[in-house]
Amino acid sequence: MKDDGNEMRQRSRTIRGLTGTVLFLLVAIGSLPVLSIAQEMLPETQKVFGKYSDRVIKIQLIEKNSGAKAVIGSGFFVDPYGRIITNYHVISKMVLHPDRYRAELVETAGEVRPLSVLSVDVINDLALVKVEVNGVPFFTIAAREPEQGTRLYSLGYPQDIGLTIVEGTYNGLMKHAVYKKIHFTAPINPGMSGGPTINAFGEVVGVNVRSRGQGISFLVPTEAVARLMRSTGAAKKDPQGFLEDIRSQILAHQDVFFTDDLIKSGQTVDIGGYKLPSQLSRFFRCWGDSKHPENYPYHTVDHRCSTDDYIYISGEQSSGIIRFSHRLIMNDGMSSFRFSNLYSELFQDKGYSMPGNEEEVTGFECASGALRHGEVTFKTAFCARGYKKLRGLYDIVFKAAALGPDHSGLETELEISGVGFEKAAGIAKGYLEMITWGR
Amino acid sequence: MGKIVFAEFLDRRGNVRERVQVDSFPATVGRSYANTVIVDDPFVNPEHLRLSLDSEGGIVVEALNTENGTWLSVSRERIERHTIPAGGEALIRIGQTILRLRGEDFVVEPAVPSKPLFGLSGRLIENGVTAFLIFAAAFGLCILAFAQSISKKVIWSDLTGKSLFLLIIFVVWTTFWSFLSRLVTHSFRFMTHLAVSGIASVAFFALVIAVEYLEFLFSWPTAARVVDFVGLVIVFSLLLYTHLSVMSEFSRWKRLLSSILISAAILSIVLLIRYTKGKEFSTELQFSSVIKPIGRTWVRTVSSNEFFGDLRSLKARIDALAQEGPRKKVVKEE
Repeated sequence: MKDDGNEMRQRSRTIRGLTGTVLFLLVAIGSLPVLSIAQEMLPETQKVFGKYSDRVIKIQLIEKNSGAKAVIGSGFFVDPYGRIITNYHVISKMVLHPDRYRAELVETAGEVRPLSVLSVDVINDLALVKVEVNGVPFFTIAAREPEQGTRLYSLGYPQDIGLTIVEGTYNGLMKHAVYKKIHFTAPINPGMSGGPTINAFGEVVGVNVRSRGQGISFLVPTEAVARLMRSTGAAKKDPQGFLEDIRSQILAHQDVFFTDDLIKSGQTVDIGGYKLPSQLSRFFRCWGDSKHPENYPYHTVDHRCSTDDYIYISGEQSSGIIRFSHRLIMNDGMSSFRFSNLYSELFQDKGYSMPGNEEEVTGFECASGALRHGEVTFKTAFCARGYKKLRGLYDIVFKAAALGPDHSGLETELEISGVGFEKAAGIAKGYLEMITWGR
Repeated sequence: MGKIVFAEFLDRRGNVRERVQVDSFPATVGRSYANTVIVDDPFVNPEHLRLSLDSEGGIVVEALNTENGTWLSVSRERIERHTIPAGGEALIRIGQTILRLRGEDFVVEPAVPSKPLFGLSGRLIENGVTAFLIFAAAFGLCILAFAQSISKKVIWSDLTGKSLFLLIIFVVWTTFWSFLSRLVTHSFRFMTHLAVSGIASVAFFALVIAVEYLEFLFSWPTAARVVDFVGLVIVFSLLLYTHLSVMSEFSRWKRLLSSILISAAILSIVLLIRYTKGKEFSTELQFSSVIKPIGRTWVRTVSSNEFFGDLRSLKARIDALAQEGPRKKVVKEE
């Protein structure tokens, strides 16, 4: 019995040992692809970082009165003579308020060197700046667009915590963007703006510009970088010169983008018997919803569209945004007097926020009236405010409320920012004339 | 029994302050307590004048040897002896005191018939019951107008709360005027003041609604604002004028002048507040958004070509504002 017992224990140990070996082999075989990918990725990123990180720089804007930094961003050398590409929004405060801000390049050792601005491309959010150095290592621009899914590396100084590299994949150009942007899946954080996104060969594929969080980020394509680099010139002494550049770039761009066809060729949507502007072009994205507030004697149907992109001018000013919205209000049992009060209140509501400060824009001035187009009579208001520094540009809000039957109302709002006055009036007119009563 | 003479002390406004009956003659007037008529005035002699009757029933006033003399008040003529014929009167000044002397045979004016304050229709607000009914109707109209202005869900507790608040305002306002009435006319006239407040509140609501329709039909917010403002001043002036009339102590011109002055003062304060508010920078849109359920066919409309072709003045206005340029500003922290 004792021998039997020993034999049994020995057999059991053998079985346990064999099982353990088999399990170990299975886990080891299963892990092989993961390990091999990790081994493959790690050296590549390290290699890219080690080889190219000295070409990426940190830019900071110093507020002169306090002597402290107001903005930080990134940039990269594009030639051995100290020319640097960054985002316009990184240095915009200095361009708009040269008396209050100065730009500096911060070296790894902490030493700072002054930066001067050579030119800006406000449409693509790029700036060409210069530091007085010679013989620095620099990036070249990739000659070809990468394939979708290509692994890319983005470099920059996120949130002032030191130079960082992040990996992501190239996903082509954004379909709805008015201003060409590359969709790049990687977490680009504040501070990395203006930094380069490069391929494994160290060629620049795009410039970090914006992020929507959760790994959705955007890059400025290199064709705009190449164009800006060709616009050579000495640093401008007169800050007014940059303002004039920005103004003329926006006005030239709107001549191309804000054409009459933008309105006339657009799609319409039927809401409450009205035909209303909807997907005006591929640049617009539209959303809709209906609301039935509980215990409230009315309900609404909403339809809103907007361009997905904008031109950054300053922290509180953007240009090139077109947004519009329609709201059908249905009366569920109010007296006509009460319903008209509700309609007036909703008409007065500002659908979108248009921030701004006294330094940069005037207050809104409005022209209101009643106009008749086809079978519809509208109560309308055309409101505008002017840019104080970029003369000739305006923000426009056009509102119209159809004077229809007592049981329903339709109000619509069109908002355009940073546009010429006559251009905006033309678009608003075309927009209103698209609205017809179809029942 | 002999004739009775009345010596009446008048105040500066000519009202009788004290009346002394003299029925035995000769009688004396002066500061001393030995006199028939005692005058408490340091400028009057202890024995200042003597009163007696002549054979025809006239009153004879004889000045005694006095420090400051005896005067006829109206003609400012110093007298030593003066006779007031039977049925007549005289205003005599001694020291700083005006004394009116009349005999019992003096004939007074017939009684003045009483008149309602505001004509025939004014009787309604002077009568307590009808005044209350007028106020109740006005209050009901205010609540109705208020309920119709609620655009979303009607919450009854909210409506009741607001009605109570309105009622408290009425009561406080009316009480204020009632106390003023009591001080001036010795009568509160609470119901009359309450009816006046009720009618004025209906006028205020009517004005607001009329201005809204004006703005809706003609899309001219500036004109509507002017009409609104002038209308408010007129209604408020009329309200003050009517309250002052109920107190009925001042003359018509004084009431009118006071009402206009108070309204003008309020107008100035409101204008000042609007002016300072208008100067503040804002990103809000200020436009005529009034929509009304009736009268759509009367709305003055233009074509889209006219509307959009007529924006030049708007652009000029904005350009003038932009011309002012960016203001120099203290750097704010980022």
